[in-house]
Amino acid sequence: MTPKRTLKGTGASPGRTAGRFFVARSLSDLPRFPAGDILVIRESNPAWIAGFLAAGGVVAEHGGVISHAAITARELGLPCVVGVTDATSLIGTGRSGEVDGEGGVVAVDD
Amino acid sequence: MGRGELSRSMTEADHDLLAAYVTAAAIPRARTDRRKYPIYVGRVARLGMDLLGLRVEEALRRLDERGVGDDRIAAAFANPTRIMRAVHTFNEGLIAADVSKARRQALVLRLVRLAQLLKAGDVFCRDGMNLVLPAAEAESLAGSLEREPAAPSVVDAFQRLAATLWAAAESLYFACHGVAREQHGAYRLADGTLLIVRDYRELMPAELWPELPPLRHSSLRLLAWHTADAEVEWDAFNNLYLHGAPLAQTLTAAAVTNGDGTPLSMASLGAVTDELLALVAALGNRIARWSEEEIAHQYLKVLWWQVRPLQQLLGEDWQPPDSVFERLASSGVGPQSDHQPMEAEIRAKMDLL
Repeated sequence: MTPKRTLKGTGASPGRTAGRFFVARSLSDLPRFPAGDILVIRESNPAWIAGFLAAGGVVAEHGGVISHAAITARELGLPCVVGVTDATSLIGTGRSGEVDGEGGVVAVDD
Repeated sequence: MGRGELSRSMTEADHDLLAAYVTAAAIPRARTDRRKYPIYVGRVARLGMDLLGLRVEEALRRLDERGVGDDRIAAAFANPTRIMRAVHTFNEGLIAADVSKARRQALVLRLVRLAQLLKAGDVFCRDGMNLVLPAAEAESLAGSLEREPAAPSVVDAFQRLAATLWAAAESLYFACHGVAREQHGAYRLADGTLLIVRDYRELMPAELWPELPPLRHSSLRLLAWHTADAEVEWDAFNNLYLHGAPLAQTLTAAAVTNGDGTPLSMASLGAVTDELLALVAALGNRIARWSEEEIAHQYLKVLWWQVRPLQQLLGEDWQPPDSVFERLASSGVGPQSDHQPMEAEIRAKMDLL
């Protein structure tokens, strides 16, 4: 069994997903975002909608249960955890793991 | 004492309504992030909320003098959330203008009662539901439309449109997205399903945002039928919370109409979504090029647009007064604060009880 690091945040949109993470530090990273991967961002605003539409799940460093990321994820039915401190630093692009949008837990394979 | 000022002997019903408002508004405000798009509204509102609060108070007084009824005033706002999300800004504006607590209480009560006129259920959603339509009307609406069963392609098209509309509303109106968006329900229908309605309006405000990419629909209504076990809850600011499964898992059927009620085919939703994505991108690109002062200039216009229905009823211009922009030019945008106030602090700051 692969050891996992667990990051805690706030569950913002229910559901679970497993897959690869993609860290996007700015909108200019989105053209390289593989559809279906889990999008990891600092914070969201409407301009990120194209990334959300392609994502299999979302992890955000900032924001709460009524943040833009949380509401967008709920509309799309994407598992989403917000308020994950330093997520874009602690999760590397290409790593695999799981997002639990109900429990607010992100598990990253080591 | 005139209608605009509350008596010192505030009635018990008035006090209870104010107390309920304070509680209802403090909860979502305590959950609101300071890092808002495109900047935190408080940094802008301080430049003119005194004048905005006074404009609202004055407009209502003059509409009363002209005999314009509350039903007509409320109807002009269309969305109860357009009123409810703005009340605290007007209250803070009157605090900044140093008016009496009685006058502030009177304005808050008036606005809450206007919002109530647009609702069939509790104005503060204390039962977790945001019931705008009377039960019979919801039943009739649901029965009048052909439902598209929730095949995966339908769910996908519907959810993409819903999410993109939300992004468009926030792009156009920032924190004042209640202008464009009212998400309401869940209506328990006779067939045992739950109906959630998303109404989007004013998606092409050319006076506010000139030269935007055109949309084929300035208003859209999305109807979603869910199984009876869908666990949804709204707060007073029209934020929807889910406690169980994602909405996609409980969705059984969907329908979309334009502003005049004409149904749209599910096959056409992709093109509608693409137009909205172009709108969001155009607005995002524009804002990305702007300075904070330019963003604040636009934000001030958005804040005034919220109460445009009052000026329209009066036959007057909705734009902010020049003095607001002069304040912006002289003092600039306020500093960013990451202080996240707790509910108790927000309640105290409202100073309404």
